[in-house]
Amino acid sequence: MSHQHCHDYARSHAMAGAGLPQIEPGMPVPAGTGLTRRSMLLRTLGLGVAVYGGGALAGAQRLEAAINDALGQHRVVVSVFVDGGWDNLSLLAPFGLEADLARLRPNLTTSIDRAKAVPLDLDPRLSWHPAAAGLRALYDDPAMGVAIAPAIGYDDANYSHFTSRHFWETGTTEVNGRTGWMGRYLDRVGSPDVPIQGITVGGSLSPSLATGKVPVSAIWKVDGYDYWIPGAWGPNADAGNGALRHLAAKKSGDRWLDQARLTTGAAFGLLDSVRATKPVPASGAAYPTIQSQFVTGLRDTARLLSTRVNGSALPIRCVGLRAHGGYDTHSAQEPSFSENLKITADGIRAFWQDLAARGEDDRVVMVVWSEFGRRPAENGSAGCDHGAAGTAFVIGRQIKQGLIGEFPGLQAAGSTGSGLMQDGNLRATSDFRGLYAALLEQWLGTGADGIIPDAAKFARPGLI
Amino acid sequence: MASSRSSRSPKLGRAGAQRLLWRAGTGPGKGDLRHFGSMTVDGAVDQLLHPKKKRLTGPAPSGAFLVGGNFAPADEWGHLHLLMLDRMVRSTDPLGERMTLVLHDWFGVSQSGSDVQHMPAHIALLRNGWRGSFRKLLKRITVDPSMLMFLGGTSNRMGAPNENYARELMELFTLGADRGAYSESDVRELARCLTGWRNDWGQNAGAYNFRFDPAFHDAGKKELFKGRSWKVSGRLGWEDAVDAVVDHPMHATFVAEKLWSYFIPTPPSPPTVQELARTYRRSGEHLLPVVRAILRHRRLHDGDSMVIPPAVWAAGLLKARGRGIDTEAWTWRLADAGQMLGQPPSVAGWDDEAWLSTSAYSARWGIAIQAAGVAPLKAADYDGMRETPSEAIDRAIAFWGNPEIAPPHRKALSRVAAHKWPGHGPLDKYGSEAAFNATRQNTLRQVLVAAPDFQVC
Repeated sequence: MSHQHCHDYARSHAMAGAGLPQIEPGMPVPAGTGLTRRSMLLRTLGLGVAVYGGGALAGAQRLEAAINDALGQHRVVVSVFVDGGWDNLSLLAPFGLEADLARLRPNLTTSIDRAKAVPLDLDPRLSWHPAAAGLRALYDDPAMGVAIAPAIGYDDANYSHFTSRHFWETGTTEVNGRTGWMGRYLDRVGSPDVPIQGITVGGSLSPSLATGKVPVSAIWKVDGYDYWIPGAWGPNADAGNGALRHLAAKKSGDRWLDQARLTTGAAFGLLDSVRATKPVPASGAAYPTIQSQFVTGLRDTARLLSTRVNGSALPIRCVGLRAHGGYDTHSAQEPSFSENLKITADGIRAFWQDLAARGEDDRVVMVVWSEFGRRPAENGSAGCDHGAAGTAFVIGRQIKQGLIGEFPGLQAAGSTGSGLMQDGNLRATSDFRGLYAALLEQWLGTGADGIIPDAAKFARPGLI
Repeated sequence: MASSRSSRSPKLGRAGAQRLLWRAGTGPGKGDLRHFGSMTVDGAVDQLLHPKKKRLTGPAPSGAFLVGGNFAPADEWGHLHLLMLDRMVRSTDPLGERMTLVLHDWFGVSQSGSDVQHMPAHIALLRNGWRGSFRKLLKRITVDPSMLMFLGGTSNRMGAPNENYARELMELFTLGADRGAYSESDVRELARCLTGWRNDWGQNAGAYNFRFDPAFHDAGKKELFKGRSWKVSGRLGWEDAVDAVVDHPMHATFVAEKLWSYFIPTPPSPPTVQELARTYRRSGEHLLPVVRAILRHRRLHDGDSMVIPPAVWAAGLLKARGRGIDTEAWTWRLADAGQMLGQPPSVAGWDDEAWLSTSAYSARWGIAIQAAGVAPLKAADYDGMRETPSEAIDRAIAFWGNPEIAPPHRKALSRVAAHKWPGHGPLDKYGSEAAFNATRQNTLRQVLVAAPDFQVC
C-alpha cells in the first residue's frame, strides 16, 4: 500500500513537472556523504526504503523513473551499429562444433588463435574471439549484465546491407519506413525543443533516431561546437544568431526547405545544451588511443551524460553511434576484422568504465547490433558473404545476464533441428523487434505498440 | 499565338537559372545568372548538355600542399577530393562534373576499400563515359581496377565465388532491391558468370596487372532469372552478365527513377517513369537524353527545393567568390559536412538525409567562413563611410556574387541590418559607427550563406 502511496505522490509532484520541494535547482551533492544527488533526493523524500527495499517492484521502478524524469536524468538507450554485417561465427566462434566448422570453414577459422578464445559459459559450443576481450570483460564483470543474442534476425532474411540495416534502424521490415524506432519513441515522450534528446556523437545522424515530430541532433565532437562569426560580436552577432533562429522557426510547406530550417533550429538548440557542458576531468577509463570517430563518440557521450546544468542532467534519452571500422569482409577478413573488433570492444568497455566512474552507469543500456550475420560457409577469398541471423549484445548494469534465443547449431538444412536454412544461412532464433519491444517496455517504461509495428507478434526476452 | 509559344518556352529568369545551375551544375559563377536567365529552359539545358568548349578557367590551385604545383591524387591523401573539387569550381562543363558526381554516387567506389592509385582513372571513366552508352560504361566499370578491388571482382573465382559485385550490380547499379527483379539464386549465378578476373600485388606497385584469366573462370552452364520470360542461360561470361542485367525489362525504369532522384526530390509519376524508360531504350541505353528530359521537366523548375550536396555547395561558394582551391582544409571541411569525394560512405553512395543534420550544418557554417576567404572587415574599412541597412544588405549580396534571395531569406538579413549604431554613449559596444558597420557587414555575410534557405535550391 505504501508503494502505491509513494507512486501517487511522485506522480502528482514530479511527473506534473512541478518540481520536487526538498531539492532546489543547483543544489550541490552533499560533500563527503558518499551520496549521489539522486539517492539524496530519495532519502529526503523518505522513500529510500520504499525504492531500494522494494527491489524489483514495478511501482518503485516507476517512482524512480518519475523522479529521474523530473531531474532530467532519463533512462538512456545507446545504440551501436556495427556496419557491414559482422562475422558472428568469428565473434563467437563455434569451436564446439568441430565437424561443422571443418565442413564450412576449413580456412577462415584457422585465423583465430584458439588458445586465446575463451568458451562462453552459457553455451560452451561458442568461444569469444580474442579481439572481443573488451566485451568479454564486461560479461565477466559481476557489476554488469550482458545479454547475448547469438542468432538474431527476422523471417525471410534480406541479404542487402541497405535493406536489412533499414529494417533494424526503423524497427520494422517495411521498406518504406522513414522514422527510426528510437525516433518514434522520442516522438512519443520527447520534447518539441530539446534536440539533444536524441543524439549521434562523432558522425552524422543515426537513422534509428529519425523522428517525425520532435528535433534530434548530431555532433562531431563537443569541443568546438559553436556558431561564431569572424569579426562579429555584441549586438550584431546576437542579431545574426537571432535572425537565423527566427528564420529557422518558419514553415514554408516545401519539404526540404523546411527540413533545412528545422535542422538550423536544432543546431542552435543543441548549441544551447552544449554550451552548458564543461570539460570534465578524465575518469581513468582506458579508451583506445587510436583516432576514431567511434571512440570520440563514446567519450563525448559519457561527458554529455555526466554534465549537470544547475544540478540537472541534459535531457538525453537516445544515442546512436556507429562502431569502429567496416565489417563487410567478403575477402581478406583478417587482419581488419580483428583490428576493428578490438577497437570497438575495447571502446565499449572503456565507455562503461567511464560511466561507472561518473556514476551514470545505472541509467544507461547499450544495444550493439549489425545488419546481419555472415554466411556460415566461407567463400574462396578468405572471407564470407552476406548471411542471415547475426549476433547482438545488450549491455548495462541493470541488464540480466543471459542468452536471448539459443544458438541453433550448424547442421545443414533438412536434418532435425538444423541450424542452417535451405540457402545455407543461419536460422534466427530471436527477432530484433522483440528485443526493441523489450527495451521499450522493460527499460524505457513505455508500450511497444505504436512504436514497433505488430509488436504483439514478437516474443520479448527478459532483459531487466 | 506568340504568348502561347512563350508560355511553353519561357525565359528562365535569374531565379530559374539559379535553381538549374545548382541542380545540374555546381552553382552559378560570375555572369551565369544573367546569361542563363535570358535563355529558355530548353536552350539553357541544351547548353549544359553540349558545352562549346570543355576546359578549366579561373584561379588555378595554389598552396604548399600541391606537389610540383599539381595535385597528386594517386599519392597524396585527399588530393583526389581536391582535384575533383577544383574541376567543379573551374570546368566550363559543369553538368559533366555534376554527372561525374552522380555516377560516383551511383557506383559508390571508395578509395578506402580499393587502391587510391587507380581512383583517378575510375573518376575519369565516369566523367568521359556518361555521355555515351550506359551498357558500354557498365562493362568498363565492371572490369575497372578500382571496382574489381572494391567489390571483390578479382577474388571471385571458379569454385569459390565472391558474391559482392554480383549482388550490388543488380541491387544498386541496374535493377534495384525489393522490386522482385531477381532472386538470391540469381545473385549466386551472376557471381559465377563474373569469375575469372585476377590481379597481381607488388610491394611498391600495389595492385596491378588486372586481367581475365580463363583458368579462373567458371565456364559451366548458368541460369539467370530462371522461370521468368527474360531468363538467360548458357556458358555465360562477365559481358553476358552485364548484358543480362541491362536487357532485363526492369532495368530501364530503374535508371529512370534513379536518375530522376538526383535532380528532383519528389518521385516521378508512373507515366513519367515509363516515358523516361522508353527514351532510355530508344536511345540504345544512353543517359544523356534521359537527363535532358529530366532537366526540362517542369517539376524541376516549379516543384519543391532540393538539398544542395555539400561539395557542390562549397564549389558554388568558391565560384561566387571567384576563388580557386588554395587550401587543403577543403578535405576535412567537406568530410565533416558529409561529402568527401573519392570516398562515399558506402557502395550505395551518399545519404542525402545526412546532409541536413546538425553536425553537417555546423560543418557548412565553417565552409562559409572558409569560402569567404578574406579577413573580416574592421573599423578602418568603414572610416568616413555611411551605410544604410539596405546598402549593407546589397553589399553582402554582392560579396557572394549577387545570388537571388527569396523574401523570407531577405527578411532575415533585414533583421540583422535593421540594427543601428546607438551613437556614442553607454549603449555603444563598438566605440565607433565604423566598427559597428564592419561587424554588421561581417554578420550579414555569414548569415546570408549560412541561412537554411541557402542550403537548398
